[in-house]
Amino acid sequence: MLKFIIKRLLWIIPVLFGVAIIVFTILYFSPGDPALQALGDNASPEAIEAFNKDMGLDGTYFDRLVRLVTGLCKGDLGKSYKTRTPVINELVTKFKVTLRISAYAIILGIILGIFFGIISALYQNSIWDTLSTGVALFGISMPMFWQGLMLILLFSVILNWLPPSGYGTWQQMIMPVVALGVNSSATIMRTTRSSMLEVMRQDYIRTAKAKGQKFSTIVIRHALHNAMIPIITVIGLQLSALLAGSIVTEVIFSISGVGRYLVDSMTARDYAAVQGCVILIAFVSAILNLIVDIIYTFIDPRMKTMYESAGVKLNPKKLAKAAEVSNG
Amino acid sequence: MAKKTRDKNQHHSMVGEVWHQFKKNRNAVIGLIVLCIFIIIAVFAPVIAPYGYDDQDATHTKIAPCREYPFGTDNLGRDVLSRIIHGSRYSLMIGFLAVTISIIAGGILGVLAAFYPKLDNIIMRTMDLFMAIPQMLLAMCIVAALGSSLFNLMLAVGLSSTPQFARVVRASVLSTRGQEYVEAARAIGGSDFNVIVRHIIPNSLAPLIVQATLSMARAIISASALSFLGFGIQAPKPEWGAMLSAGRKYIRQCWWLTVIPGLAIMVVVYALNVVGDGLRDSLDPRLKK
Repeated sequence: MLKFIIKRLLWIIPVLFGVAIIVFTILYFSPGDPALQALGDNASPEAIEAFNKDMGLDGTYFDRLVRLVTGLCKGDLGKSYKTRTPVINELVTKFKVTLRISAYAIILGIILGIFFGIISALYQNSIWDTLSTGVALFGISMPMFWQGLMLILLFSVILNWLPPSGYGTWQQMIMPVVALGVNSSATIMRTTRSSMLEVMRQDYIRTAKAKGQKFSTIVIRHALHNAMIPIITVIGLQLSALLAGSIVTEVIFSISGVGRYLVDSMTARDYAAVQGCVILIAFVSAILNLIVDIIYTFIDPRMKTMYESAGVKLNPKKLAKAAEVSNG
Repeated sequence: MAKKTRDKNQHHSMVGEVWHQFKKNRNAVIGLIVLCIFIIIAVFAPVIAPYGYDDQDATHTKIAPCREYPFGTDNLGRDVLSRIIHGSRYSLMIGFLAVTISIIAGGILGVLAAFYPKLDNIIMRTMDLFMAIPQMLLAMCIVAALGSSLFNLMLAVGLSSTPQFARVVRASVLSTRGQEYVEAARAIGGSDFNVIVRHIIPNSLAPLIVQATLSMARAIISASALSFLGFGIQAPKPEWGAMLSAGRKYIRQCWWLTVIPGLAIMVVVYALNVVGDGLRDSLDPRLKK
């Protein structure tokens, strides 16, 4: 098992370099001159040249690519064109904010999603089922940024209960967390429902009922445990979706996290910062995927054997295949 | 009697069979009707809309919804209803064409990966790399590189969901490839191209159709989110996301400027989602009786 984890961790490295190369290449062809953007249109040619040299913007595509990759090996994501400070420093502080909000949001999403998913699976076709599946479908159809705006309209403008923007106090946390979390809870709820419905039809559930097992034990120990694999998969996917969703949410609620930093940098054509954000987000999603894969083994021991048998040979092909299988 | 029912079944084409199942799902049928209404609105937008999308009237600014202006007017005195009607063209077109782009690109890659084991690893690992970047981020970077315009927005949204399509198509083709009729087609000397086009693609379509409908919903949301952030379609074009972003400044005085464009997005996306769910249920052979 440890071998599997190490191998998956090592696998992240080429993925990160690949992502870095992709993003660099896309942004390389972007129009606009970062030097003019940073120094103003009237900058002298000498100043522009000095700026380009300082920021590592001189040289051909390959020169810059090599510089990026060697920098990445040292954990250096380059310097922001705007502030001329290393991107990594800024990212670390901003990432803490994003992480905190996303963590609360996913907890909210898991609790709401699993609870309502179970309820509507147990009482299929009842009013509760119709209601919660209907609401969930609306939940996934609502654009996250509009949901945020509606929360502001209701709780800040009309009711005047919560501050419309900012980050710090718990009142300021409520709306961003709800805006992010409700969206994931809708997806988690739908998966929980269909997975539970399938499990509840199994013979072992009937056996448990027949032997007079307590209903709550049947639901939690027998049904939910076996229904968990697709739910965990969806939660894993939602984690990456949350990181992306935080982009709009942070812009709406003026929270200075990674998402807003990314949008601001994109607008200012500060491509070094954009690159850094994308690489960081890809790294975090890769780690989260790994954690999800490890959680599988706690829920379904069969997965563990599969990982271990895949890990015996140093074969990335099989490893990727195992990961693919476990990802559904 | 038995003979009669068998005959009846034989007359069901695949489309007829799916429609028969689909009809039973009331929500999905409602979704389909809503979708058709929006398509009609989009096609006949200039005829239906009472005003042009950029007709400004300085004497009628920020009017709350009333009989003359059912959805109110914005800060420049433009009729919001007319803008919503014109805006439906953008959302539907972006949704449809972005998905078409990702079906074509993802389809070709997926078929190649499934059919030629040598290419499989290269294509799928590259797709994995692209999937490591959240879709929205990838679309943002592509739009930044290409510059913001309607076509580039569609291209960015379409390309960013290509890896998912490549995966679905590959999985679907892999399961079809082993079937006897494919072997038979090859045995009688069918070329690769012939086998792929005549036998594999038609039989792998079901999951692709479902994926396409649900992806269209997601594409519409991504495109409007990008426009909202200022990377997509720019003012004064009446794209719903751009309208939301412009109306956001007036959230304290004019609630209708933030509520209505969002509702429009939600209704279209909701319709697509229920239709997608309905299609999935009716195409799933396990649920057929």
